[in-house]
Amino acid sequence: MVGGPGAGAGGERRPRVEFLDVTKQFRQGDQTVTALQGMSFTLHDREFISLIGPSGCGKSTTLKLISGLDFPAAGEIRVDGRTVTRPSPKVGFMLQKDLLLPWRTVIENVTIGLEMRDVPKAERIEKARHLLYKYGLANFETAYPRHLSGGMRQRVALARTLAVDPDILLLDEPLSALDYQTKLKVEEELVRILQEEKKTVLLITHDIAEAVSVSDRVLVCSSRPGRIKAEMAMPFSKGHTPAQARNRPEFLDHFNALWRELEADVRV
Amino acid sequence: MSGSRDKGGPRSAEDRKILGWQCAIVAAVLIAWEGAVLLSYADTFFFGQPSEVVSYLVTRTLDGYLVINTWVTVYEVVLGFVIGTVLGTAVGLGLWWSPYLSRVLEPYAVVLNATPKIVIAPILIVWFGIGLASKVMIAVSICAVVAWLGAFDGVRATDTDHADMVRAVGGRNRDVFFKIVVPTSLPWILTTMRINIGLALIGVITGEFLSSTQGLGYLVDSTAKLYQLSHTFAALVMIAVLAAVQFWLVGLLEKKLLPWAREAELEFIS
Repeated sequence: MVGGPGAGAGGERRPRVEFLDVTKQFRQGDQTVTALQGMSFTLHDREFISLIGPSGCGKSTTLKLISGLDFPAAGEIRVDGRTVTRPSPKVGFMLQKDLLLPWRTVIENVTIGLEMRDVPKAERIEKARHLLYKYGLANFETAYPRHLSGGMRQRVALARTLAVDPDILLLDEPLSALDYQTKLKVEEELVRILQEEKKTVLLITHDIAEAVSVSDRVLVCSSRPGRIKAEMAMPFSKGHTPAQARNRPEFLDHFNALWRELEADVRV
Repeated sequence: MSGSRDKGGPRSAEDRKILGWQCAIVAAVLIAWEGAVLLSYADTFFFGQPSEVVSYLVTRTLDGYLVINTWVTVYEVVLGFVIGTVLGTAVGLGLWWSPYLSRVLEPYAVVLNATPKIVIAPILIVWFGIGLASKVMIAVSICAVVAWLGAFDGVRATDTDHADMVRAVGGRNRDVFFKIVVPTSLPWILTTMRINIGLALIGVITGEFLSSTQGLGYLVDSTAKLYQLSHTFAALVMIAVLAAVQFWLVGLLEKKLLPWAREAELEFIS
């Protein structure tokens, strides 16, 4: 089950994101905190990988580094073979916070990325309308975000993220703020959309069941300083919805295997 | 504070009743005042007289004297408010571009904020004379400091995740500034405008008290010194009306610029 980088479902595909021996430190007052120490992994084309680990293991740092919003102290991050020096149009991200701008209507929130890319206004609106229609938000175009429920807000955030057509998606616990039922529903929708659109996905989560049911591979991150301490292939992502995966008899075996890896690092 | 005011729709019976009470209190005070003067419990010399206030308001409005003096004050307040707010807001927002400079300026902001801004008025009168210019400058100096600090508070409230989101979709600093920083700061800017319109009026009237030949502050000061208290009260009425109109206009601007916050209270403004 545990293999080196490149093992697992995506082994034969071309690498999209490469994390090579990355170390990242932060200054916290007078102290230097090492968030990542020699972290390495590869995300292959159209692969769905989950990164799980205890809080503070540098999961969110990992996401910022791939996005080109922050830079490593040592090591290298490559997207499609090129070293990341600034945000790339190929990479989109979604956080736990939906980051909707309260002063913009739903449709204006979706078009913001297209504005940066100088897409003509008519085209921006058409594209945003299409996405909102697809995600069941057609009637909420002119509503302000505070009128929407949590699940709807995350769907708007997804529409905003996908509006600029990134094909690599970084998801940082995007559903963890939702209540459980809503989470399951939006999760299923999200996975279906990402599969249909043939996206390459890195999901950061602390929800083991979510990681098992949606991913091709799961990377387990150690507590600070973070590095990859285990990696497991998961069998459910193709041909199962997350709900179906959860009902498979072998689901628990995978769940427990991951839990054993994590347990050692969990301090209560 | 603005909660009940912002709700549209028909007035309830309770609202009408409250309005009735409010009018009744004003009427009672005026009647008691007028009555006390007529029955010689109070001396007009010290207290003036409501009927005299009204007749002064009417005759001096008709002959243009009140109109000119009100116009002078309005002119000073509006000019000072607009220049000061624009300057201060530009500086406050502009400091987003330079965290270094904003750290350099931080202690000045704290000191300026803590000092009663009106203390500079006598100096400005020495520099700019007893005419309109000195009053405008008093209002400018007050409004600029408050607007600077307010806008910069707004800048500091900018969510770095919002900024990252814009950068991640290809936005540059200019995009972050105009699409995130400015809209985030807008509620702060509007709040400082609400504060500033009041402070500009105080500044201008104080300037007129100190030395002037025109304006509502001049009327209050000069008539009180001559013990023409009915005239003083008439000028006070004009100042109160002016303040109310200014507040109402800024409230309109707020509704126009912050449609997304219209129904909800601005949570981050208390």
